[in-house]
Amino acid sequence: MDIHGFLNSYVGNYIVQSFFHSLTAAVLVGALVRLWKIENPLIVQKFRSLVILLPLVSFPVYYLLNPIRGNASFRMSALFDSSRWLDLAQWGMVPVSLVLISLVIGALLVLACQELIMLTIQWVQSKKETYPVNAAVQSPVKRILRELHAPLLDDYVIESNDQVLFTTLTGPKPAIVLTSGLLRILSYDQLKAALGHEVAHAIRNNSHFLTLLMLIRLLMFYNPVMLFAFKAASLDEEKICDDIAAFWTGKPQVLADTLKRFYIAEEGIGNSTVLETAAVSGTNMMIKARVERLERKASQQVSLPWLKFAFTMLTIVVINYYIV
Amino acid sequence: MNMSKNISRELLNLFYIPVVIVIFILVIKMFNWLPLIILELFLR
Repeated sequence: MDIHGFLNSYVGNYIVQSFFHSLTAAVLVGALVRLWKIENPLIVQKFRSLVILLPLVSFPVYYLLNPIRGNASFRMSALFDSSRWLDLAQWGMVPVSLVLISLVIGALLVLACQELIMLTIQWVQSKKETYPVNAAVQSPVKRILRELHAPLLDDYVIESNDQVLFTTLTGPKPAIVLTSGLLRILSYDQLKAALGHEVAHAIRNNSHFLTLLMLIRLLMFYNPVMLFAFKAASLDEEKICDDIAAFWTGKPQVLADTLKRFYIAEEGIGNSTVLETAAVSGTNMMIKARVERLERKASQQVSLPWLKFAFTMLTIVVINYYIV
Repeated sequence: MNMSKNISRELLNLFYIPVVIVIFILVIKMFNWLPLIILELFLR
């Protein structure tokens, strides 16, 4: 089948329209969240989920409501008709459809590099390597977990000079894993703030909301907007857990100082690949955003959040109907 | 008094929606006509 025929099929229309629908949703959500100065990450994440959830169902629902939505007369009166761009046979020397396919392949490559390859390497390494667990230094961790009223979580202190801390949810019960190198550099308060953040992850992950968003994102692998929307939703999740940890400990500045310890030095990566450099600066940017809002004591107050959410959703749904 | 002031300011904030929608629709319309302009100017 030629590219023109494919783009005019049901699947082709779904791919093209879901891309433009997510782009519209992303721009509208971004603009309104900024204008309304919504900084509460719990609410921002709900707004962000519109960018991922709505385009998944919009095309089939619109199609059910109006099966002739794709015909020539509707397209003529629509707000935006994607076929005008796609049918533009030549743009200088490069056909637009070729640019579109390159975008899809680019998005696929980024996904493959970012997610699948990294996950496979980590999985293979985890099968090969075993880390010595140091039981002697576990006491402060256990004590803090008791203070945070989370004694049911498992905790493992790995003997290593690296500074690593994460929560794993794959075992029979959630576990917090950290290295002795991290324990050596953090004060008691800092360790409490960091563990508070991880406990918040363990508790919140019961909802599996992010897993659902990630599945949709994998399903719509061809859509680069989804990559950014999912990254932003993950950053919101980190901010939510930061807020919970700051609330539990009552010391947001301590958590900000702890986060600064996780900056990755960019000088030493001069010989690394472009992908590694991008990953490091991306991680640092995310940490910087979290530190900045903790130090600024960003406002959590949002008035009429559900009304704003409903308005935003309605606007996206109506505008996207006229984007074919 | 302060609370009613806050509520009225928030209601006013909701009017960002029509402003954003109008600007957004104009931008979309521009992108809708752009291929035809390109076609007219460069590809004839």
